[in-house]
This record gives sequence, C-alpha cells and structure tokens, in this order.
Amino acid sequence: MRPTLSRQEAERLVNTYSDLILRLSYTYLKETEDAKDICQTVFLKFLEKPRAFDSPDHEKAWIIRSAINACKDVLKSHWRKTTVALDAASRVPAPEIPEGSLLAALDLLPPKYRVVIYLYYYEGYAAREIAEILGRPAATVNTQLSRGRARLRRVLESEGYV
Amino acid sequence: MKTYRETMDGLSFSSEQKHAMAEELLDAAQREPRRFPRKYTLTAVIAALLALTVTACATGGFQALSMIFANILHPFPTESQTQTIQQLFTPIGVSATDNGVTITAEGVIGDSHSTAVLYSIRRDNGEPLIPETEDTKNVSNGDNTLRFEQETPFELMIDSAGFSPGLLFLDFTLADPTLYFLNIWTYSSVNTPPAGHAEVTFENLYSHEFVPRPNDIPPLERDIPLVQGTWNLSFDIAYEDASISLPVGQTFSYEDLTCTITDLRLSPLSLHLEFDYTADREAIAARYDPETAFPEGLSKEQWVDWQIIYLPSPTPILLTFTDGSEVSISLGGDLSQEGHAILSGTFGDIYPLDTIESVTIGDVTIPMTE
Repeated sequence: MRPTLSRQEAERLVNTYSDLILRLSYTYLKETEDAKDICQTVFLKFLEKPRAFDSPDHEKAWIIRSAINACKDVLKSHWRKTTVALDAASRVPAPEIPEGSLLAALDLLPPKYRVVIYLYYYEGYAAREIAEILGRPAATVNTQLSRGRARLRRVLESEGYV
Repeated sequence: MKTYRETMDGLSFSSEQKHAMAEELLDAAQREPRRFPRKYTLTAVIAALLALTVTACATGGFQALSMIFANILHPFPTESQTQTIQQLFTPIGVSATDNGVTITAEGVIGDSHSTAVLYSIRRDNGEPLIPETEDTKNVSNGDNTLRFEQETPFELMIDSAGFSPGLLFLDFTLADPTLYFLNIWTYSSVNTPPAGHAEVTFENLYSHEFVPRPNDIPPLERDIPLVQGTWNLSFDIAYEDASISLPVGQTFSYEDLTCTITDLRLSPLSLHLEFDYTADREAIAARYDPETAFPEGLSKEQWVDWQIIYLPSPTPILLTFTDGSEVSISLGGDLSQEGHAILSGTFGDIYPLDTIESVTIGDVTIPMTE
C-alpha cells in the first residue's frame, strides 16, 4: 500500500520535476506528446517504493534515471506509433528547430548521446556525476561527451559553450 | 535564433497544466497500487497456455514460447509481430538440471549475423524460482539486472567478434515459478548464418543492484544471490535465415569519410551494414587540438587514425515504416584501417519486414525491395 500523498507533496513533485522530465522526454524521444504520461509514470513509481534519499541531488538523480527508463519503455511501445492526438490542453508543443542550431545538430545523434549532452551542458552535471546517474562507466560517458563535443564543436562554439 | 539553453528553458508545462497533473497524481495515488498489468496478465496467460501443453498438442507450447519471445522484445506485440516470430522460431528443447532447477534452451531465431536463443529457468517442484526475502523483494522492480556468474557466450562457437546487450528477461514477479530470458549475440564478421553446435554454461543466477548517489559518494552496489547451480547445455543451432539483402553501391558521406555501401542486410530483429570508405585525413587532422584531444598521449597521426577507427556508426540510420513513422538505429562494430567498415546491431524490438518502407544511411535512402 502506498503511503498517503499530501497535496503539498504532490505539488512539490510536479513543480520540482515535471519540466525536467519534459526536457528529458524531448531530448530522448524528440517529441513532447508522451511527456505528461512519463511524468505520471515516474511520480507513481516514486510513490510506490518510498526511498530514503541522502539529499535533494540524490532524489533528482533518481528522477532522471527513472524518466530515462520510462522513455526507453515508450520507444518500445506499440502505442507510440499508433496513438491518436492527445488532448491539446495536456500537451506542450515541441520547439521549432532552426537549421544550423545546436538542437538541429543534436537531432542527428543517437538518444544516449543527446541525453549525455543535455545533462552536461544544460543541467550542468560533471561527467562523473552523469556516469553515476545513468549507471554507465565513467569512461563511456567521457567518450560520449568527447565525441559529442567533437561533432558539435562548431555549433557549441556559436552558442558560447566551448 | 534561439540558443539551445533558451529553447530548453522554453520547454515547460504551464501553471494550469502543473495544477492538473498534481490533481491527477493525487487521484492516482489514492487508488490501490498495482503492478504494471502486463506482468501479471502476461505471465498468467502464458502459464495457462503452457499448462495446456502437458496434455495438448505440441503447437500449444510452440505458440506460447513464440509469444514469450515476442513479448520480451516488445511487450504486448501486434498480431504482425507475433506472426513474424512464430514463422521464424525454431524449437530446440534441450535442458540441464542442477540443484532442483532446470534451464532449457527453448528455441532460436536468427539471421545472417545475429542469433537470439530463448531460455527458461524453473524450479522442478513448481515453487517460485526466487524465494521472497528482505534482500530479494525488489529484484523485479526494473532497477536490478539479472545475470549469471558464468555465461558462456555463443561467440566461442564461431571465429568472429561478437557483442551482446546482455540477457533480456521477460518481466516477472516473485510468484513466478519460471523465468524466461533471451541471449542475443550479433557478429560483425561472418558471412553465413552463425549456426552449428553450442556448448553453453550458466552458473549461479544473481541480481545486480545499482543505486547512484550524488557528488563523490560511491554508488550503492551489491550482488544478491538468487539461484545456485551450474547448468551445462549442449545443442545444435540451425534456423531459417531471417535476413534479406538490399541493393548496394550507394555513396554517402559522414565525418570526413566518403563511403560506398557494399552489404546491407535487414531482418525483423537486426541490421547489418558494410561499406568501403576513404578518409579525408587532412580535414580530420585540421581538428586536432593537443589541449583537448582524446585520448591523450597520441601523436597527431595516431590521433587521426584513432578518430577514423573509433568513429560512431553513421547517423542517422533510420528505418522508415509504411505508416510514416520512423525509428533511429544504433550499430556497433569498427572501421578498419584497410578502409572497410563492418557494423551490426539488433533492434531490441520486432520490425516485420512488410512494415518497413526504407532504410536511410546518412543521406542515402534505400527502399525495400519487393
């Protein structure tokens, strides 16, 4: 049985993490249609098994990892290919992707590269932290960052990241 | 033009949407918690099907095993996906027993460069395979990875480099007497279906639990023993090659390489790509920056060689389906110094060939042949 959820806690979860999950969903799936469902999946999983987190950072790392796992499940789901349009009120439009932008360049990379680049450049995690969050060897993340940076060098420079 | 940060900052739910999500979360949280329905429903249905096979004809067990195979790769598969797997599935039916637990190589599906063998592991007395304890109660929650201490790879059978995504288990609960898993191997350098005689050993099933922690605190990791035993299986692998060959000879460019496709094979489970390439070494060398070069300690020429050999696979590699949707594919393998690349990859899903419209490699799109 889940512990009782207070309105305050429900609002805390949504206000703290729903945008993070939306951005992760977009980064991984290149669309935003499933983001709301992924939010609910992650939050319900969070509530089903109460965990003692050492810190807010620890809790955020768990949310990130769970959201990515939920994105992977969506990729495998038959319903993603055949679903009809969702209620417009629950959708956030996907951003326009200007030609030559960093977002356009990222679109050409596999999902796992996009996620690493997002966590490094947007969320500000170090490579070692990304490795811990994703459960990958640090050497793997370093290689993905290095290759990603090499491929994105020109657009990263134009947007002031390098 | 908006920057990446500005674009991502703009991705957010409105306050009204967040309020609605919080209300929905409160409502959902007050309902009884449920496991994801596919776990209970799937295993119950499959258990019922398999129970029928004791007295019914063998096709009942074949169908159940095909359905299990399909569900590992694609939970609740479509009719087309199920039929595809049923058409390709070749039964094996070889077992080994130790410590009251039996592992059976149930069947195989393969193509020109990949094999996927379905195994089952069950307690002979019909009791749950994994006893529920304080340590094991969370092993089916998706945060744990089930492994064997020893798992003889099928690659020993043939003279080729291969790689595997690890064992893929069908979702299970601790009440299940039987667990099912796929062992998929992809080979980069064989030109005939990797078949033959297999000697496979599994030893001591355990669960690897990994809980990341922030900052400099090492993650919590532990291995939880589940089932002790050593299982040696000996069986022949033979199957109908599920691949088709697509037209080759197209040229595409990526990463300062000019590439010509020499082999492109596609099956419902995997894709195999080979191409010859010439590298613009001057263009690659122009990117060399001794302060940021990775890996460190290489000369400029060595760094250029490394850039070529360890390039990621071309992107995008896309499958476009007849319904207009598409999926991005990642391949593994290497570009050799002799100017030839061999890349393969399994999809982790089932794509019936009659649902695929075309394959895109970089800027080249190859339609499916009729």
